[in-house]
Amino acid sequence: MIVTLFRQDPACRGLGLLLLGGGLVGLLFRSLASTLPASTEALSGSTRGWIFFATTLVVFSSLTILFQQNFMTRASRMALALPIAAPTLWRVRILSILLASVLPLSLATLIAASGARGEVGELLLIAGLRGCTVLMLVAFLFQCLDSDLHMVQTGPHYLIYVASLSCAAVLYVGLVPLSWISVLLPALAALAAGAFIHAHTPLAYLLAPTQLPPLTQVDSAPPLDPDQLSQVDSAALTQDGVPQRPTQVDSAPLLDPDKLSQVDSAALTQVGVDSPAALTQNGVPQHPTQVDPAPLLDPDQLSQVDSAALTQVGVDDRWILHRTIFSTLINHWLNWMIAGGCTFIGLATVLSYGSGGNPMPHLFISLLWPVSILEQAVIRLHRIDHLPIPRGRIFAYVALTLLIPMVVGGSLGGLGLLDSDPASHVRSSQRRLHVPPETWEILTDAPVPTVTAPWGEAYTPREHRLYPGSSSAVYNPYESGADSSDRFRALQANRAVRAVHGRALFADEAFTDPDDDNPIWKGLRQEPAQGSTFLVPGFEGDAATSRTGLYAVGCGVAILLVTLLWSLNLLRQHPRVARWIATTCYLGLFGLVAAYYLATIIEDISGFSEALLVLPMILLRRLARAIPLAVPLLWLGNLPLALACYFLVRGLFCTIEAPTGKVRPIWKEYG
Amino acid sequence: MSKIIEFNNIQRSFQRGVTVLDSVSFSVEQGEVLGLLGRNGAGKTTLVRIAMGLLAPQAGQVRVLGLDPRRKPLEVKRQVGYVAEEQVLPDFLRVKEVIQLHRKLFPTWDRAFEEQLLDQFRISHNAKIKTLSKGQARQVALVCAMSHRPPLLLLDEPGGGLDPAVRREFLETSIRYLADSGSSILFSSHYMGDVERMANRVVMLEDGRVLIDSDLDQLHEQYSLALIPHDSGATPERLLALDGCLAVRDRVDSLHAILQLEPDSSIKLLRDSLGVSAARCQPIPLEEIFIEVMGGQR
Amino acid sequence: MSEPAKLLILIDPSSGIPVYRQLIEQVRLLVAGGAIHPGDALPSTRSLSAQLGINPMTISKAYGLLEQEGIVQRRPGLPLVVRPFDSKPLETQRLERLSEELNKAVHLVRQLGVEPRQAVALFEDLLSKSETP
Repeated sequence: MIVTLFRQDPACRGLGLLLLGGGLVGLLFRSLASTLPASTEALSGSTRGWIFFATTLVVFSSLTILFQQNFMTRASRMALALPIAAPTLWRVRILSILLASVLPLSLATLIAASGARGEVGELLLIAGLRGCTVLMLVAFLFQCLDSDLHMVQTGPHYLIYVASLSCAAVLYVGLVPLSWISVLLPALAALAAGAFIHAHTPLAYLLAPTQLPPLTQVDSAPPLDPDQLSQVDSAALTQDGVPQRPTQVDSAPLLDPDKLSQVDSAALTQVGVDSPAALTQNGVPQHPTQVDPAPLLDPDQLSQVDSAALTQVGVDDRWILHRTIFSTLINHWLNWMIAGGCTFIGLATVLSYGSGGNPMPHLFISLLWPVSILEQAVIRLHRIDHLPIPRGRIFAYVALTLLIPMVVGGSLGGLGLLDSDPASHVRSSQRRLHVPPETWEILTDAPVPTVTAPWGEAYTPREHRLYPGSSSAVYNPYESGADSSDRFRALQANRAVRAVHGRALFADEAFTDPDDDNPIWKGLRQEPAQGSTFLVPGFEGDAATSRTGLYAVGCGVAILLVTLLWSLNLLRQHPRVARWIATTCYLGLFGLVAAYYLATIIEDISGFSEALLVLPMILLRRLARAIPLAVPLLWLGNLPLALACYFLVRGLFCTIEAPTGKVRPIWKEYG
Repeated sequence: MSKIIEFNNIQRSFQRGVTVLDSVSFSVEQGEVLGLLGRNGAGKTTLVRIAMGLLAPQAGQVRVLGLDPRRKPLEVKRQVGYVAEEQVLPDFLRVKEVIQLHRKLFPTWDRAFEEQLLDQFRISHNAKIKTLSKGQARQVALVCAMSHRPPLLLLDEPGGGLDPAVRREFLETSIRYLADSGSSILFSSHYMGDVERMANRVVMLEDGRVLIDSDLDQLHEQYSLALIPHDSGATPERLLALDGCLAVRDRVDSLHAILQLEPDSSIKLLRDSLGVSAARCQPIPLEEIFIEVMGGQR
Repeated sequence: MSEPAKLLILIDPSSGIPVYRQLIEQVRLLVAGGAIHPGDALPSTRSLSAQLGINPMTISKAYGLLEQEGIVQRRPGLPLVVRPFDSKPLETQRLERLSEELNKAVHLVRQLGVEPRQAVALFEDLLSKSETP
């Protein structure tokens, strides 16, 4: 019995896949960890990366529990009807949730830690295990409300509770220094919470609370109780003096128990011959001349009514259409978040781009979000598909509610950039020179060229393999080593500035005497604490536009990628396309993008994910150089491209068949 | 009479090798009520969705009110009233807002009729859709489907999951509408009583094919139930060997044989071939015909 | 001519007998039994359909057949009325109908093995009971 309970638990059903995922993540980190030094001192700034790694995993795993395993349910409806004690059901459920969340994480931790040496290995173990215990605690705390019900009552207060708990967990994992005590504390708290819930679990779960919470919404209509309703209605009818509709089925003989068996399902009807009273509806006599069936609506009549009806349409009506499409297709849960999120994404992408950083992580979120939201829209489309709303208009709602906030966010970011410091593209901090990723170089099957200064000092930049064992690598040609001289670093900085901004304002200055008033020298010497950017008089004019060409090409590529993803997604529902081909292509591409995104999250850890991150930017720069157009033309070119893509996807959207599966919120499927 | 719906060799499958509809052809005339019968998974819903333009046939043609629902989706949807069992109304709206939405979308909306229906169903305008019971929600769906006075109602399991009282009211409302407006109805249902009341023609689908397409009254006259006393010398084996005998059941008082013959011919057959003279023949309800015909296919 | 008479129509859709035949049968019975008199109007197709909750086409089919039988008369633009009839053939019709129904009872008597004498006594008893209002 218990085994069956475990087997029907959605958390346990997904365990295999989760363990596989955990194992893969573990292997990934193992390969990264093996490249690290053994002692924590040599780890320097990357420690932050490790904590970040753990935090991200916790967030990911928590989300997995939250939405895929229906964490707020304690038993399935099927199990509720069986003679099994509620504490047993709860134990099975919580164990399943814990297994599905903790087991993959522990597996990943163990595999990763086995690859690391010495103190770093222990650090890794602590971080991973702490993630596990925090997850355990969170899983218990998520469940500690409404312990007499088969699932925790959801509502705004519970959402806030879950959100703040998740935030607290992430903060704990991300901020508290790594130690064994910090592993044990959540575990103890989890045990206490578990004991508390177990003590408060009744022998049998209820489906709904015994006492209803007071209505928070001011609702003009009372909740519809059929008995109450009919009473109220009949009362109202008699008050108005309008007689109640005579029941067509004369119920008196039907209710006679003796006759009931004879009559069976037959309708016993008393028809008054020619009696208008018997033909009334709601007390309104129907005209006897309406005997003949009305003819079918003819087109003329249709158009007349059309114009008449259109004049009646008020502003309210239009908003209802907007609201229905928006809430049904985009998100009927947290509508406001979409617009806010899209604006934020647009803003973040532009800002990270403009400030010389790597925009890839933001760019990929901004890709994945619209893609997944369109997917949701397609899944829900069948809810309004029977209504005569043009598909093209539906698509406009879906696409524009996503795209407009993004464009607005992007424009806001652009405004922010106008004010920003153009020289910040080349910065130095902690003796490292930061250059925009697109100025890196790519090479295949060749050694990294050594940079030699005129005075003989030489340095060979580190190479970053695209993946372990790859023959291709990227390198930063403006890198300097830990033991390079300040003069060499100044030379590299100067070369970087020239590469980024296209101007060698102070080509000679780099070689002058170190005591001179050279701004780069000064910047490098005074720098250490918060880093320095290269502020040089004369930069302002050009610098703001130096990255815009690349930016335009990047936008175009992003448009094409979103179009491709959207098209593949839509082709899955196209009646003339073999579904498995479209699905394979779509999932393949989506998986690629998602894997890439995962790699960008763990960028700090080792060389190769950084290489992956930088590679698209290098390719983008090559593409931008290959297109023989001026920057404004590149920007203008995006407009027809975007329009063409919009109409392509719109055309597809108009021809797809809405998938007809029943859509239920995930957390309702179990419970 | 003009054809309101025409299905011509419709084919449709969702997965490779699994055919849901296989060259289905029939039509619905004006003023006709066609009951679409079939076991679960026989393709009824798919067919209704194809008529509505929600799905495209992979082969064959559909004409609804003379239009191709895939080419002219809006024109078709505007002239069709659609209620389906699994239909979801926007649950974040109130009843009056849902009505407003439909009022905007359907140019032929008849406000007086809408009011009359809402009053009849006693549904509060201010009620939120999510607070409605299943029956009330279906009634709102019916109000939305009928208030634009469509020449065609497409009802996919309209009574599914409803209590008998609500189902009867639903039925009577659509019948009254039918009688008033002379429109046509295509409906699928598992409630044979509803089908016998409403339909004048039935189409039975089985494994995606049209098994029976017949006038309901004619269908009744084609089948009969013979009650044969035990002592008449007939045995189930001998009865089953008769041409046209679909099934035999051994009951306490007599043998019940279901024959694909008119009652008079059945008596004649029993007398001529088995020498049974004491047999009595009755017409059989659609439900029995359905069970025997559909059961006989597997 | 037409005065509002109560007419009792019982439709059992799950009986297996086609609905239109049930209708014809019952109108015939009502006419034969004197519940409807010659000259009385029948309800319109539309209203009867709404009242009984059955397909109007079925009702017009029944009315059409009743007209063919000569029981009712169709006049353009007016409701159907019951034709004046000769009461003699009706008398035989009534008896025919009764014997048809009684035949079923005879079957049952044979099947259940009830003594004919007992059955007749029971029938008489039932008849006398039904006389008291």
